[in-house]
Amino acid sequence: MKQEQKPGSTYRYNRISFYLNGRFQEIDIAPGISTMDLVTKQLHLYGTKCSCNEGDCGACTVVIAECREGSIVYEAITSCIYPAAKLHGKHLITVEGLGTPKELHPIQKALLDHHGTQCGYCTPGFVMSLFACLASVSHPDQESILAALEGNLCRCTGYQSILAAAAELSREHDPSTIVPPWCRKVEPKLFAFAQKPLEVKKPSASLFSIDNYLLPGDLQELKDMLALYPEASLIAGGTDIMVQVNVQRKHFDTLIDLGNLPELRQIKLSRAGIHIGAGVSYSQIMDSGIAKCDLPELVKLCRLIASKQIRNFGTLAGNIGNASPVGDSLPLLLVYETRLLLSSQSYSRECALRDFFIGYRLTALEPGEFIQEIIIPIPPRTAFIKSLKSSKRKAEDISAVVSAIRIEEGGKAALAFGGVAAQPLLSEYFASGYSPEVDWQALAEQVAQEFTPLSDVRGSADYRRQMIINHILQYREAYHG
Amino acid sequence: MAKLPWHLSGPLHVSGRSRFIGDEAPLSGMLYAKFFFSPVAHARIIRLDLSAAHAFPGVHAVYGAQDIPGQNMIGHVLKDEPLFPDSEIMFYGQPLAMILAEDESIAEAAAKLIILEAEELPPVFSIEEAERLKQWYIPERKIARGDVDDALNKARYTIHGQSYTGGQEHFYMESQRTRAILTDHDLIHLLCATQSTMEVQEIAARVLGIPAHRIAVEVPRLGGAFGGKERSATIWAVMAALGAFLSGRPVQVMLTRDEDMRVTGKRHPFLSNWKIGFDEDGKIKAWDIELMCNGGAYVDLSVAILERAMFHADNCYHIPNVRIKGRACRTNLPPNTAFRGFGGPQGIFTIESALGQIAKKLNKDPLELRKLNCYQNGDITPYGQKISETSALKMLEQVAEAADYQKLIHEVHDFNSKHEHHKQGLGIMPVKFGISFTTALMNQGSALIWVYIDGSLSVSTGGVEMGQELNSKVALIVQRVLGLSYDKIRVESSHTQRTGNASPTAASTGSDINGNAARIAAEKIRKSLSEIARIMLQERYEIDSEELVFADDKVFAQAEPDKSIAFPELVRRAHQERTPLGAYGYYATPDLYFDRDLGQGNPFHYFVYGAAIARVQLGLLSGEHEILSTHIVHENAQSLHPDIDMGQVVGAFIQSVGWCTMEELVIDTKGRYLSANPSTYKIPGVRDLPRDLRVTLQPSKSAQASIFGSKAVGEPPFMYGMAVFFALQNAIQSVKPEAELSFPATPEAIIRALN
Repeated sequence: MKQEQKPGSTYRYNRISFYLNGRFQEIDIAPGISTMDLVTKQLHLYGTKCSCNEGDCGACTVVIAECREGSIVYEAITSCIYPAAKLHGKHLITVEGLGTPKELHPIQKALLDHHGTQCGYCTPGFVMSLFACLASVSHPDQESILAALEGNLCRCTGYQSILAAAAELSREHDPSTIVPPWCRKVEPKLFAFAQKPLEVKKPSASLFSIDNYLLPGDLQELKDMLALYPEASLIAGGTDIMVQVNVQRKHFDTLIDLGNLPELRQIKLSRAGIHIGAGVSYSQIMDSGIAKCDLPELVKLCRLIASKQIRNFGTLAGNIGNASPVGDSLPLLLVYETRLLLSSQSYSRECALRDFFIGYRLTALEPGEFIQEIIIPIPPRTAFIKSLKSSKRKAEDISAVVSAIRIEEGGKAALAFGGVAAQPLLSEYFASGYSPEVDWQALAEQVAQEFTPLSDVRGSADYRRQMIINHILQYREAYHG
Repeated sequence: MAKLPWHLSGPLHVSGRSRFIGDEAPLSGMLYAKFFFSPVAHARIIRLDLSAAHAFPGVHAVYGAQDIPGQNMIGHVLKDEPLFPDSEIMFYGQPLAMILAEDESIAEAAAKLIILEAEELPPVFSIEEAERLKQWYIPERKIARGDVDDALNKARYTIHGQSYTGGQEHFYMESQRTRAILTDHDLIHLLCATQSTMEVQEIAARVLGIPAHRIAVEVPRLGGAFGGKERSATIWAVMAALGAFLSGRPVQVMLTRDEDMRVTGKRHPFLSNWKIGFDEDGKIKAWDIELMCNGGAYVDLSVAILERAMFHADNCYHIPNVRIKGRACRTNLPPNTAFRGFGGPQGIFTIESALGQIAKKLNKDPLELRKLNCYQNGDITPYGQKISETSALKMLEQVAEAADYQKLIHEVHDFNSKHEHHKQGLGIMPVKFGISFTTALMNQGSALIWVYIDGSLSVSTGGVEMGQELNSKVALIVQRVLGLSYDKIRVESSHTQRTGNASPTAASTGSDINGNAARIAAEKIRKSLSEIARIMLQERYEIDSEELVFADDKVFAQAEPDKSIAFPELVRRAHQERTPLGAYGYYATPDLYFDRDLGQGNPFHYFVYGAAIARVQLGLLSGEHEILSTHIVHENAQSLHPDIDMGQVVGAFIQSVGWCTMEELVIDTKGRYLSANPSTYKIPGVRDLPRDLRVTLQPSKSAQASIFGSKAVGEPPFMYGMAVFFALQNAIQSVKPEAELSFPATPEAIIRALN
């Protein structure tokens, strides 16, 4: 492949550097190629399995080790929707690295002892999810294990044998026996890994879904790239865009990946509130002390979003930018009175989230702009804030209806719904009609009239309308105890 | 107790070293197949223009109905299904042409250039509509016993009802796939993800117009199947064979998840109308039922599935007067097909629904009602098979004890009286499930064993390993006969050139049929090696013994275990003595027959029994539920490997919970599956297990049981999941007694039932 160089820049085309199962790699990649395709089709490691190609089954789970805020984190990700360009500067660990049939890793042995594998197709994904879990937490509890495995589907075992293996591993191991020496050896190198910007351009006329994939190294680079390609699509985690590429075969001219920028991967506190960078993953929010203290309902909601291996790189900014009417976080962010910091090469501006959504999957983001920060004013401690999500399955499902409520001591109230209109919306009736003495049932029925739910594969319009009422009645129960 | 051996392929699975089809480096020159799928459900083809796809750079060939050298017919039971339709399109997503190209994205892009001109015909999607139009594959089938009309007239009470169960996507983790390779020009080697090597071979040969011996079908292992690769694999295998045959290049067909979910058949939705007559104690006097299934566009296995539903419309209850009618409906959906239980769950669901209504009507304890009606030894089923060795009642009593049923009733009642917005409910599910293919000729199998000169052994059966650990069980069986250690035994891929004419690995019969064939082959080896061993024992130790023991990789006389011959020594000597070290084993299940016209016979070798009790809690406002506990007692005879069987019981139960509570197939008005990926079709995840799941495998002695006293385990436990559905129904009826929960019990269905 031809190596293009722009004069006077340090851009590197097509080539990424990373560690794979302890070994340094420098390889050329096609733009937008997924980590799964890189591993199986280009590197011929067939242990990572493709089953759904949209991040929903976990068969392709691998583990990424990277340096973040001064420490090394081991995180499971669904490799089918994790762009390979993101591997730049990280350590990719696949099932082949962990053990061999003759020298099994403790996780592999435990699964065998408990008959936690039947057809075997999902098994490598389970091994890797368990590896990330046990490498990150000493003796994880049942909830941590369930969270680690909720994104891995198995059609054979019914999970009980896998959970028995996980419970035994949790009892008998901690990261010192789970993280192999060759992983430890790579860790210091990850600190020093240069974060060079990366541009992956398609080499010639072919059928790649993506022509250019740009990975800026810092904020200024990002702004420059956006100025050059104002119509580019932005990708943070990529958990939605990669599904569009893999399944809907959507074509993108240029993708700019802002997920690797250290400046955007921080959660900060200011007088204005909590600033969540556009590259901050759901998992980072869930682990953040600031969020746990001041935005507990957001942390709680994050647990219900997608699965662990998607939360590890999916972002709140992506959920906002995607502007799906069923975006799980959006009603809650609306009642939080969230503001967005939108930036471009030449300016920054703030925009209230309620003004950001302007139609079905339409936003107020102008060409050349990107979401830099999500700013959530810290609500008063006495405020009642809660979010509810209705879906077919408890974990890893997309909402049919999602909502959030906020009631303050003075009687100020807000209620927002997703899944019942073309965009996530605040209820006008509720804000004006709520009072401490209000008849909730009557108000709920009034609010239900305000929205225009449709029937689709996730639920009928009638069901959704009923759930508007039922969500509000559930809030009543929670509020009045 | 000695530790049970690992999954035979387990070390490969957990280390990512086990290879599935497609997990090999691409072959040089290999072409990738993609399809032009019909964008309409029912139409007459006027013109199919493939020229632009042909001309697309990177496309090697585009094939359609006109290119088929042999017969354009992949139908098996009835000859009704073409590989490519040449005149009438029968379902949305039906493949109309195949594109072979250098890579998949080229083939996909080219497929978009194909132009179809067609006259749309009115499609039929529902059972009701097909019934109205009398669109049945075969005339109505009937099984009857006693005088049902008279008994209904005389019964103290009668209830009429209608029941419905929905379809289910198999969601095997590995999608449909085949790699076809021409070897030596006249042999087509199909590495194929199928449960039915014989069928693929026969039909590929028919379509290509060549003898079957020129098609070698090999299955290394499947990444799950559950019935979805019994028949549904054939079309894709034949596509690959056709591509390789015509192009002369290796061809790989591999469906994406979306394609697989959109165009392949599923579990049959069933509708039934029924009347049940009973006395004041709840003793059932008459059961009159008509079962109708949605078969999809072609008959596939619909008739056999309907038949099994009819055979299970009595579940484990003795009813003196029964009339079971069945009709399989043709609709314009992808042809529905085998899925774990094969109609059994749908038949059982119906009578359990009826029993639920009787219990409500008489205000009688559901457990007592079921116990009262259970089969006793000596009773005759509606299809004329005599019941012996029944443990239905025993299983119900045991599960009631294990679950502490009386306490459960009290706790649930107590909870419900104290909570306004949350309700609990109980469901009971006894099971009697018949084992054997109900088409008697399919109950045969073969195995081939080679002992190699170093004492290692290779065994092939016609059975397909798909996670059920058939191969582990075959290894255990051979181990038991020949006393070899587990790691000396290699169980090979299923391959038509080693074990031909293999019945599908299905109907839970895999271990019974293939295990017995392997046993017979191993016994032949043991017999010929015994003669050599006697000579060697005589020579070496001057032992003269008839009773030899094969154990721990040695052979010795029972009386003198210390004086033994190592197995490799024995094998080498046998080879020197020119004794055969290979053997073929053949097994056919005895005493099976069924007269379809009379609806009478002995279709099953034996029955498997068990029972489950589930307790659920429901949020009346959210419609969401949690399974608080499930107790299962499963009759397991003399298990070959209890851990494997436990995996089958739990796996089947959870799969069934998915069917009953969350797996919902949705089509649009054009007959296109909208629930065609895991983001819109939800199967159970790790958080959907009961909070407390307890399974007891109850050993038993059975004269009818199969290989080494064991019983089949694949399908029967699927029935237990229905306990969860009935528990939810029970919880709903605690607040709204007249409410009927529709299937599956999604939060939406629950909210609908409550409002």
